[in-house]
Amino acid sequence: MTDEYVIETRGLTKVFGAKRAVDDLNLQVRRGSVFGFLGPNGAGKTTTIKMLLGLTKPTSGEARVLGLDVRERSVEVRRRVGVVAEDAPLYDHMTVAETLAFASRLAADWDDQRAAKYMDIFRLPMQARVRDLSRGMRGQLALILALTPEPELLILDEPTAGLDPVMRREFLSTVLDEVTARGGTVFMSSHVLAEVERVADTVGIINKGKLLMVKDMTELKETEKKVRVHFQVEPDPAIFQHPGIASVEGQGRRYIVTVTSDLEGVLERLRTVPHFVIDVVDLNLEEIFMQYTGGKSGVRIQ
Amino acid sequence: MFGFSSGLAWKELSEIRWKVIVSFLVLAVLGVSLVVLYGYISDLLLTVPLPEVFRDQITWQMADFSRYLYANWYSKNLYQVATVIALIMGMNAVAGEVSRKTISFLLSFPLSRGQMAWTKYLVGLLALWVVIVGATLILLGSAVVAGRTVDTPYLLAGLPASLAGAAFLYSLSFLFSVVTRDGVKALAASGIIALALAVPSWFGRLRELSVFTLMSSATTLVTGQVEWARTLVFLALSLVIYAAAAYKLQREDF
Amino acid sequence: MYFHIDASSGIPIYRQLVGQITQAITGGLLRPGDRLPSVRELARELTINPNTVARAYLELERDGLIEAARGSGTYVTATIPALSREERLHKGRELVRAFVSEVRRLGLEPRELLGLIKHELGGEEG
Repeated sequence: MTDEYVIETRGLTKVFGAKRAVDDLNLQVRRGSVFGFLGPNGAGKTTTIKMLLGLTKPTSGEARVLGLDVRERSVEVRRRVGVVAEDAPLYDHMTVAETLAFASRLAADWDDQRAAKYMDIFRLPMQARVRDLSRGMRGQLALILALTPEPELLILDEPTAGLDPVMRREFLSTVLDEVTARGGTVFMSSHVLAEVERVADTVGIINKGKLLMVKDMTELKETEKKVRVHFQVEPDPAIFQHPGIASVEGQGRRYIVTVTSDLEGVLERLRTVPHFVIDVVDLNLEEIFMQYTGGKSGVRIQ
Repeated sequence: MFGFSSGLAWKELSEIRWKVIVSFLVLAVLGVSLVVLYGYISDLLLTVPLPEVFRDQITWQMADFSRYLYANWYSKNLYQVATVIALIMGMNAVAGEVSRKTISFLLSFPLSRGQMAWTKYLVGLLALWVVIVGATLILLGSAVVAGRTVDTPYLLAGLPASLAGAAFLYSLSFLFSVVTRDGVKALAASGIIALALAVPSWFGRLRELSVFTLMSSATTLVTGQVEWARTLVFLALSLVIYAAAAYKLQREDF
Repeated sequence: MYFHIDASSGIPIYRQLVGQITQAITGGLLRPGDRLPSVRELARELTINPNTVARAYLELERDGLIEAARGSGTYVTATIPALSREERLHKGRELVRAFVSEVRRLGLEPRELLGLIKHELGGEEG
């Protein structure tokens, strides 16, 4: 294990009864990246995160966070990792001020001035009870608690669910500004593709517990294409035998070819057949996501 | 398994403070009323026709104020109320975090499961003991204020047994709080076990096994001697139950 | 200057940035000596990854369009380096490809597309 990766899992698996919630997960998250962990609801995102934090024990396989074995060194992991868990759980009966005081006593490296700086950004009412906060404010408070100890790695589980677009932008901007800009790593699960598309530089897609793909976002957009072809004659089906071609739709002389790598090679091959049009279509993350998860899913596009 | 987190202890204290205040008030009121009612009760009881056995016992108890207080405090009011307080104090220790879904928040801090278990256990136990000791002191104080002469060492001799018994019941409730992850179920399960534990006290030879026999402590009532051996046995049992709870907590998925 | 990032486009965000800054420079909106927002400022404003902004700036620097002055920010360079005809054609081809692919999504026929382009070109000449 090297210092290059802040999260590394090998064969990580969690079985609940008959269900393989996480199935042989091999994941590597590079230091300094913003990793978007995508998948429909129930795909295994939260279970993976809980295993990384030592809340849930892996059935088999191993996981290291900041080089530390999550089974043995989970307390040390949590000392150095900031977390905003799903739905930002907090103690409802506490006030905002009490919550900060509570966190200051439990967190590894608390700094009141830094906390105050974040309180200024979000302007939360100090004396309000947590139960009276809006969902957005709750998420912001949880983020303040996670950011104040200046973690090397920030793990966010569906951080912006239930936030309006303005709050979502503010939330993500703060994360990027406070973590990424000073060299930290962000690992965020989400099923809101648009936000991941905006901020992530690496994307992993998980479905039914299996990691289907991990790619650099730019590379993803540059290599995952659809090619529309209108041949002049019906081609030999062997023309589509190419490692870069993931799938072919259509028949006769019109086809849509999905390409996942070596676009130039594919184009060159298609051009050998007389054609009217060969046309490259860019795919956005949503389309790529559908590609991998089979289209039907609990994905919400916002 | 025995780590302690003062940060968590603060939170626990603030969450159980109302339980502590209310149970202390209930016990204190009971204690004061025992002192105040002494005259009335003895008159009342001696006018009612009773079987010979009870009559002798009551006459013996009533003859001495300290003995009267002991019999009605340790052997009756305190152990019954303390049982309920002990079960209530333990029921939500871990279950409360699960049902409020705050366990993942709590465990996002660098806090080991052992620290979580021991801190929660200890805070609840100490609160329970403070309530019992505090109410007993109120009882003694009010007797002094009422101008009675009390045999303080005799009246304090019942405390260790009560504290150990309460710790035992509290530990049971704490264990079920971990196992069931549900406060109400934990209360029900530990309540049923506590009732089942009362059964042996109805049969002569098995009496010694019952936690309630220890808490009501008839031996000390008569001799004035603390039953150290049985007290320590129940304290040790409490620790064993705690260890089981902590072991279970260590292996839970949240 | 104002940037418009379309995250859900199939074009990587850093390319969108590079394209818009290049256009602003060639179009005279940004002049030599003008200061660009810092990586952090721009990332915060657009809610995009600072690494993405840094990548765009790096590319622009490599193309000689901007220059990072140590400690004081990033500036548009005094001279716009002349691109060779080859390079200009390459850039043009890339832009056209991206553009055509975007317009195709709208479901426009090639004929309509050509009409639009002619119209734009006509407007520029007039």
